[in-house]
Amino acid sequence: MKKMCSEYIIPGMMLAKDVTGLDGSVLLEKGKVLDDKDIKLLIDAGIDYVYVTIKEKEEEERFLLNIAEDYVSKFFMYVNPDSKFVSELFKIVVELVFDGLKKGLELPCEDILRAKHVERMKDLFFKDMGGPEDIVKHELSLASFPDVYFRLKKLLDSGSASAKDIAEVVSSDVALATKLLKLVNSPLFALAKKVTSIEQAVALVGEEELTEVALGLSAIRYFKDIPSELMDMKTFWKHSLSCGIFSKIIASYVKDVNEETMFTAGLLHDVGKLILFKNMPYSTVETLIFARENMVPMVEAEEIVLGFTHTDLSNLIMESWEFPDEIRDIVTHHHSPRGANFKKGAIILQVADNLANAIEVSRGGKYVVPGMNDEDFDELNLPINALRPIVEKHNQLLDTILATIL
Amino acid sequence: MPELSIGKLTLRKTPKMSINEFKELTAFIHDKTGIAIPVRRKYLIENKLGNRLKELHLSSYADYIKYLKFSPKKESEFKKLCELITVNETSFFRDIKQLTVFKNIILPEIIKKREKQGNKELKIWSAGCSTGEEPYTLGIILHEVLKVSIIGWRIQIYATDISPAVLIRARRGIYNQYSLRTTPDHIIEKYFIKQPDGYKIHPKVQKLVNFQLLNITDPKHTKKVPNSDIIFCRNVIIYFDDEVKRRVINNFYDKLKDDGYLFLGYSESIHRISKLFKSQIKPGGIVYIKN
Repeated sequence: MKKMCSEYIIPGMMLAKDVTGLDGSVLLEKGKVLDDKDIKLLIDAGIDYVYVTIKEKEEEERFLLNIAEDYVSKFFMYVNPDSKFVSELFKIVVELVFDGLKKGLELPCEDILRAKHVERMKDLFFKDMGGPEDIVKHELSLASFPDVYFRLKKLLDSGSASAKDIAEVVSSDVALATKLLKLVNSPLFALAKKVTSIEQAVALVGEEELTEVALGLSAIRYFKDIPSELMDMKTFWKHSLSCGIFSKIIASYVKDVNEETMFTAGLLHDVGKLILFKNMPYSTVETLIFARENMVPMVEAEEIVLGFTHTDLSNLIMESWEFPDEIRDIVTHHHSPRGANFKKGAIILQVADNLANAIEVSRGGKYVVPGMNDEDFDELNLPINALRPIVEKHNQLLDTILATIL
Repeated sequence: MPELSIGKLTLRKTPKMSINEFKELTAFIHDKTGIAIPVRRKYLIENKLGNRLKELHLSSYADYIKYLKFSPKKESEFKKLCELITVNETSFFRDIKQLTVFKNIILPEIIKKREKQGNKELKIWSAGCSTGEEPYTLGIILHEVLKVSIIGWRIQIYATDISPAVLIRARRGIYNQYSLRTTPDHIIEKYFIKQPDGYKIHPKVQKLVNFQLLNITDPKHTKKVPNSDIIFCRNVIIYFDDEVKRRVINNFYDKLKDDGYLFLGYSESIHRISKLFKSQIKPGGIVYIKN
């Protein structure tokens, strides 16, 4: 017996329990083999889920694979089905969902997107009465960036900071130092030996590299006060970190890109979304709804609903914070790598964002995969069959590292 | 065995649509409905229409376009196309803040005015009403505001949409919990009747609403709409390009009484495209009045 959302039922499944209507009467009886008409009735009547049984083991696998394919297909409706990158991604996600279903994964039923509590939140800007510049200006007037960030930035800009200098600044912020040590000791960095001090970490990872990662981690703190009723910050940072990890792993396959820069870019690639949430919560929900009902990626929904995108905000805010140009450029162009100065980095981040989005489909994510051009993907010289091991490595790392950085 | 099947999976489940086919199809859709579809949604359109091709035993989108234009069944096919390309995620009491502006500010003002004029008549146009949640919500609010005195009023909520399928569901007036996710419990209690297949809207609300199939971009169609005190058109014009938006705004201008109000969706704005209306910021949202 399996609990299953009405929208995922496939004709031929049998009801394991009676389905009752709103008033308690029996709509469909236990034992009924469901056909298209029954399924439509269940959906129209708003029956969220029913219990079904599948007799044969072999038949069950066939059903589950069908369900996985149907479910995952919905999130790939927007992208080019003939792209080799997209096709490979599709297969990987179907397999993840199929494996999950066998182990009892319950695919999420349609649920409530427009949370009631957003209704009382007020946008600070109305459409066409405040552009990205106004939003960022307002944001900057609100709160200051962590002090440790600017001290690190100064060291980075000086170009001659020693391991000792960096260690001194980082260690002045105990929470940051702890996170940084845990992070470099994680399998993501795969260092030869366990590192016990920041100075050692600098020696092994590199001055610039470690400072950039520290910048990224210190930036996260700026956003820690966003009310959780507005958005689930854990989900947000999980996606961000997922992108960071993917970016770093992919960068290890690609020539002339720095893995740590890519990690930090991935970690911060959606900061513009946080600025948006903070200043325009209501419009953000409109955007989420638009994206979902039209099956388009968030960035396209933003363009239509708001008239600008989160990458415009990321660009402006990172400029104001004097983020390293390379990171800002990569973050700004992760949906449009052809306009980037550091094109390879932007492409890597775009691949990482697609991978992260696709993996989230197997974990209940609600947004379509944004897709990308095969020609851009080819610039990385990354063999298509590398995607599977990259995903496996990422999946082993994500949860432990998430606990480290939050 | 499943391993093998996953390797064979393919995302391509429909015929390919050429750029020319896409252009011809979207030009046709734009011409008939005002809806603009950017080229980056080509695959989405392939996916949405792929099943229609299969059902009609057509092998290419070029054939489908011919069918849409010249087949004896072109009218009914066009309606099917509309169902596939228009979206209708909606709920009762969607955008509670804006509805609060309607309930607490605009409606009392108009009621007072009409009472003074000795003309107890109210006409509201819900343009792009989808499956009926918006017009019924407005009907419920009228009942809440006017209470028993509603009997003394002549009220018409004229609700229109271009998709016949959604209108069938709207007229039926039966909803599931998902549609009612933003509705307060005491309102459900008062205005809905539990049935085996869902919540049925109360007849006293239903009789206020008149559903009609209508294209709001076409002045020939909107001519039929009564002159209205209030027009609601939320989350509809966002699908149009500027030129069509302007046309729709003109139609609204013609159909709105001089002291009437226009409500648009929360994140829709017209001040860039038309000077016919001016915006008034109320606590909770923006309303438009004739300039």
